[in-house]
Amino acid sequence: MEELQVKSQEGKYLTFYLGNEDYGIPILKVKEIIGMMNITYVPRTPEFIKGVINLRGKIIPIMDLRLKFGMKEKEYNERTCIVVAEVIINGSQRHLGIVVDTVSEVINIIGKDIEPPPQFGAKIDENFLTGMGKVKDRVVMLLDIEQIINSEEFVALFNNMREEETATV
Amino acid sequence: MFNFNNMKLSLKIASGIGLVATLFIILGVYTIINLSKINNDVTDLSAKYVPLVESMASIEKVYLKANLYSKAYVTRADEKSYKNAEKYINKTNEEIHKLEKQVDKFQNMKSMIERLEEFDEFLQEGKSLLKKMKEKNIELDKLMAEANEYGKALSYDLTVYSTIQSQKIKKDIKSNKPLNIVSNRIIKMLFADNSIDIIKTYRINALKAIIKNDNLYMKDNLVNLDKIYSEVDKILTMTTKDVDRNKLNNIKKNLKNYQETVLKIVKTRLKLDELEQNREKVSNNALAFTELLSIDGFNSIKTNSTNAGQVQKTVKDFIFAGLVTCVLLAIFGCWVIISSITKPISKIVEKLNNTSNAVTEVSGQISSSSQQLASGSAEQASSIEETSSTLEESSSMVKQNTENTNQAAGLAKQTKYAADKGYSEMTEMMDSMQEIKKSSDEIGKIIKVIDEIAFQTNILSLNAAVEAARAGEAGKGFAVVAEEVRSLAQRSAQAAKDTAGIIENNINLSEQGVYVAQRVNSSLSEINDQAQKVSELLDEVSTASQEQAQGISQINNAISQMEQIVQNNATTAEQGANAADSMSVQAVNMKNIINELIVMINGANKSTIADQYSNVSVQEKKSVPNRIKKTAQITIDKTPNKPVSKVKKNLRSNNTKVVSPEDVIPLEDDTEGF
Repeated sequence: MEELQVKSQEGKYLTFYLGNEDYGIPILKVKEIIGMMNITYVPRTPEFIKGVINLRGKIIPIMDLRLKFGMKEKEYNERTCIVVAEVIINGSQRHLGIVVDTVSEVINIIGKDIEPPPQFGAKIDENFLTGMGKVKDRVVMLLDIEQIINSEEFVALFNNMREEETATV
Repeated sequence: MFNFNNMKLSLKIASGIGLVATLFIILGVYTIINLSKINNDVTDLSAKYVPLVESMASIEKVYLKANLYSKAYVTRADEKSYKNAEKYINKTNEEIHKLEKQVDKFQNMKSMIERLEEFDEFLQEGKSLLKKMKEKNIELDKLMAEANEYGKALSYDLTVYSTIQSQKIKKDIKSNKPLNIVSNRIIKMLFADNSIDIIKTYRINALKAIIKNDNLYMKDNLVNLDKIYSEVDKILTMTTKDVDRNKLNNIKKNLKNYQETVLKIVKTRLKLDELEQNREKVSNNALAFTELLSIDGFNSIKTNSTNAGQVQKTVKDFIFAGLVTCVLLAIFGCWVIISSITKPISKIVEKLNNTSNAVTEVSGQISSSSQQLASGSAEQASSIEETSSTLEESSSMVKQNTENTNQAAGLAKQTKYAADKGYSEMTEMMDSMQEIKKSSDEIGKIIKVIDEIAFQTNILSLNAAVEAARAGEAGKGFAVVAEEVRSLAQRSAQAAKDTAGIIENNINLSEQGVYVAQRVNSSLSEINDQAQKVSELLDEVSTASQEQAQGISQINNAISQMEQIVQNNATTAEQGANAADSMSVQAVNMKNIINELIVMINGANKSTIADQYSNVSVQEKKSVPNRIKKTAQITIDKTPNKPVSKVKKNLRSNNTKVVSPEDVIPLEDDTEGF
């Protein structure tokens, strides 16, 4: 793990679309990709948390990345996908469903094709971005999921859920 | 409204006479009523008013007597006059009551009763006044007697006193009594004598005053007696003896009584005067009443008699006026009736004459018209033949028209059929188009499913890639497979996308085809409608042509009938001419009859009007054109010869001009043209 990080960002990425932009998350962070499911709304949660789903008996919170990134909400269709990512919060591994417009492909981006994120003009906090991948004539924004969800709300949410989990277990 | 002119002749005459008779009856009844009224007035005059006037006159007479006795009583104041006066007043009263009873019968003299009652009141007042006067007179008599006694007593006392004094003087002189005593005695004696004189003078003057009726004198001269009082008082101072003094006092007392009595007399007399004045007034009033009464009576008689006279005069005038009116009305009625009988008859005769003339003229006109009609009929016949031939031509043309129209109708029907067929085929084509569209939609759905499958496959491949990546080195081969699967999925998705585009194009094209088909369809239905209309119009034309043909055949029939009618007309016109001629002969007959009527109305002498009429008729007769003569032959055939000869005779006898038979009866020479 540490070696991979040292080798900077090079590796396979799962790319997806939000609006017209391409985003990519490291493939090892991805647990699986599923189509849209029924989302159960959980009260008293932030707006970008759409609720939870029951994925083969496992409760997974669902976040709308569009809302998280402050983009305009889009109605879900048959192309909308949930990328189930594995994240580490407070040292424990957790699953988080990320709603994206649609998934694109799995690509291998070599080190020279990755550039650090720009210091200005980005739509999102550069902490989320780990780099800008150049694929053919497109640009893929590489995201760090843990940075995205590394905020108090998430910590609280996951804590609650763990409590619930422990309670149920 | 009732119309006199419409009445029967006999009724007219009867009504005229009846009117006059009714007027005379009305006049007679009026006269009788008024005469009886006058008679009543006269009877009233003698039965009622004359006795009234008589009693009024007697009241006046009696009252005049009563008044006379009353006056006599006033001057004489004796019992006899009073009684007479009373008697006559009562008599007057009785008479008044009698009159009142009489007057009571008349309604129109109520005012007189009131007047009589007033008069009675005056009478009663006069009577009571008279009674009062009588009482006063009695009182006066008593007072006079009293005054006389007092006067006598006074005179007597004074005379006695004087005699005593003179005896005493003689005695004193004889006994040589002092002179002053003697002179006193003389004074006393002189006083007595003097007083006696005064009293005497007064009494004489008082009597004179009574006779003269001068009450003021009596009253005023009483003052003269007052001197006696002072004298007595003077002598009383000289008298010492009580006996003498008493005597003197007695004289004084008597004097006083006398004076008082005289005053009372004066008073009573004044009262009497007053009463007399009242009575005079009352009697004057009563007298005026009696005069008024008699005047009333006379006036009522006068008015009654004048009334009667006036009524008589009115009746006389009325009768005179009535007679004049009746006579005038009778004359007028007779005139109206005569004129109402003769005028209409002469008018009728004149009208008849005119009519017969007109008939003659008209018969000529009819004859000529008939001729014209005959010639016109011939012309009509020829023109009808021409018309008939023209009609035949047009009939054949109409037949051809009908055939052509029928052909055109058939063609129009064929067109319509073709249009119908095109329409139904078009509809089928549209259905097919719709089916194409439907199947395209289904293909689209299938493609969508394929696309979805491709997407799912893509996700699966991605998941596989994820799993391969997780597997690390061991998963490398699997990753390649996943990549292949992914590319396959992408290709199938691309193919599905392309197919979808083609299908969409297809759908659009088929939609366009449907739209065009719809337009074609509407055009075809329009063609259909037009063909239908053309067909209908042609049908109508066809039926119209048939009707035309029928009409032409009917016209043909009508024309053949017309030909017959024209022939009939020609014969009828001839018959009409004949009839007109016979009519003119009848008109001449009628003229003769009219002439007889004129003679009857105006008398045989006054034949001028008849001549005039007949002249006119002859002139008109002459002016009748020749054609009558031509057609008159038939008339002679129909009417017997006798009336014609009679007509000739009448014409000769009544007219100065002799009409030749050629004028009336046609000769055989003239009939050639007929």
